[in-house]
Amino acid sequence: MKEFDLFLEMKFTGSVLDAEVILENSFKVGNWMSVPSKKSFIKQLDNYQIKDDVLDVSMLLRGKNGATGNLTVTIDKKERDVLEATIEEGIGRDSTEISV
Amino acid sequence: MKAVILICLLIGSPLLLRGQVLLETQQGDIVTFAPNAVTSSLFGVLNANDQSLSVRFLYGLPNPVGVLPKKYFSFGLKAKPTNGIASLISDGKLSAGANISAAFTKIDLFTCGGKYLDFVTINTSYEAFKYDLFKADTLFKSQIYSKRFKGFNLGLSYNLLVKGAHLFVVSMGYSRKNNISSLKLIDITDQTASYDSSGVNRTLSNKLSARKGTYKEFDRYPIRVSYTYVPPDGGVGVKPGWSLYLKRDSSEDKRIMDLGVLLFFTTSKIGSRMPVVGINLQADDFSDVQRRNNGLLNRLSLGLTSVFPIIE
Repeated sequence: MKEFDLFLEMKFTGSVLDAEVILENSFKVGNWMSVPSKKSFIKQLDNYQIKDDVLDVSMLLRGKNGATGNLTVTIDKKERDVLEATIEEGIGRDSTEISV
Repeated sequence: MKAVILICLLIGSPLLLRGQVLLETQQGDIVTFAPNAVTSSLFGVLNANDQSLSVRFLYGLPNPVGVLPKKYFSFGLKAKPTNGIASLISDGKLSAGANISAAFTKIDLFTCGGKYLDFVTINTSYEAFKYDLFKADTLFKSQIYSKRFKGFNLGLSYNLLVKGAHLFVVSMGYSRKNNISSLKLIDITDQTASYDSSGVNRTLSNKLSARKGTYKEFDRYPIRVSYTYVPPDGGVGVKPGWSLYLKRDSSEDKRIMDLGVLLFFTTSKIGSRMPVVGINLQADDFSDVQRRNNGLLNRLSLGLTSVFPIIE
C-alpha cells in the first residue's frame, strides 16, 4: 500500500463537452474546482492510496472534433506526467502508468 | 447596466463558466446551440434582421463523477426596438421591447460515452413590447391606439452530436405570437392649422409611426428540425459551417412551414472555433400552402446574424 498527495490539473481548448479522469481503472474523479485565472480545472487528493507501486491514470474526452485536453499529474508536489488528447470522430483518449 | 450586472454575476461565479455559440434565424429563433470552450463565458448576438441585441451566459453545476459540468443554467437578455433601430427613440420616447429567457441543459440524457453525445435543453422566455397601431375603419379619435404585448414561451430541444461534427436538433414548445411583423409600418402626421387676424397662417404638425391593419395575438406550438455541420476546432484561417432547418412557428397559418439554410463563418481563438457572422436564407411557406400566386423566388428572404464574444 502506497500513500501520497496527488494533484491533477486539466486544461482544454475548443468544445470539450465531457471529460473524465479515471484512476486505477475504477475511480472517476469528480467535483473539480475551476481556476478562471489559469483557465483550468484542478483536483487535490491528499493521502491518496494505491495497492501496488504503479498509478494508472486515464483520460477520456468527448465533444467537437479538433478540441483538445491535457492533464498534468503531480505527485507529492513533483510534476510526473502530462496526458494529451485531441478529439477525433467525437472522442479523445490518453492513459499512462506512473511508478511511485 | 443590465450587461454590467451580468458581468458582475459572472465574475462572482464559483465555477469556470463555459461559453456558447448561438446562431439565430431571421426571426431571432436560436437554431444552433453549441457549447464552446472553457475559455469563453459570455456572448453577444447581434441579429441585423430583427435589429436586436442579446447577451447570454452559462452557469455550470459541479459534476460528482467528471471534470466538466453536465448540468447548466443559462440566462439571456434581449433588447429589441419595436420598429427597428431607426425608431428606437421616437418623439422622445424609448420604444424598445425586452425578452428575458432562462434555460436548463443536461448533457448525456440517453448517451453514455462513445461517439454520440446528446444534450437536452428546457427553455422559457418572457417578452414585452408596446406597439402603436392605426386602424382606418373606426372613429377618427380611436384610429391611433397603443397595444401592449406580453408573450410567454416554453420550449424543449433535443440535440445529438454525432462523431464530433454533425449536430441534429429537434425542438418543440408553446409560444404566444402576434402578427405585428406582417402589418405595414406607416408614418402619421396630424396637422392643426390656425389663422391670426394679423394675416399669419400657422400649421402645427405631430408625427407618429404606427402599424396599419388588424392586430392579432395567437398561440403557436412551434416545431423545428435542424442539421448543422460543425467545423472542427483549431487550425488557422476562416472555416465555414452550415445549418439546414425546417420549422413551423411564427405565422398565423398553422400549416405554413419555412425551410432555411444558415451559412456561418468561423475563426479560431485560443483553439476554439467561433462563428463571427451568419447569413440566413429562408424560403417562407416552403410548400406554398397559402397559394397566393407567389413564386418560391419571391418568398425567399435573406438575413444576417453576427456573433461576438464579450468576455473570453
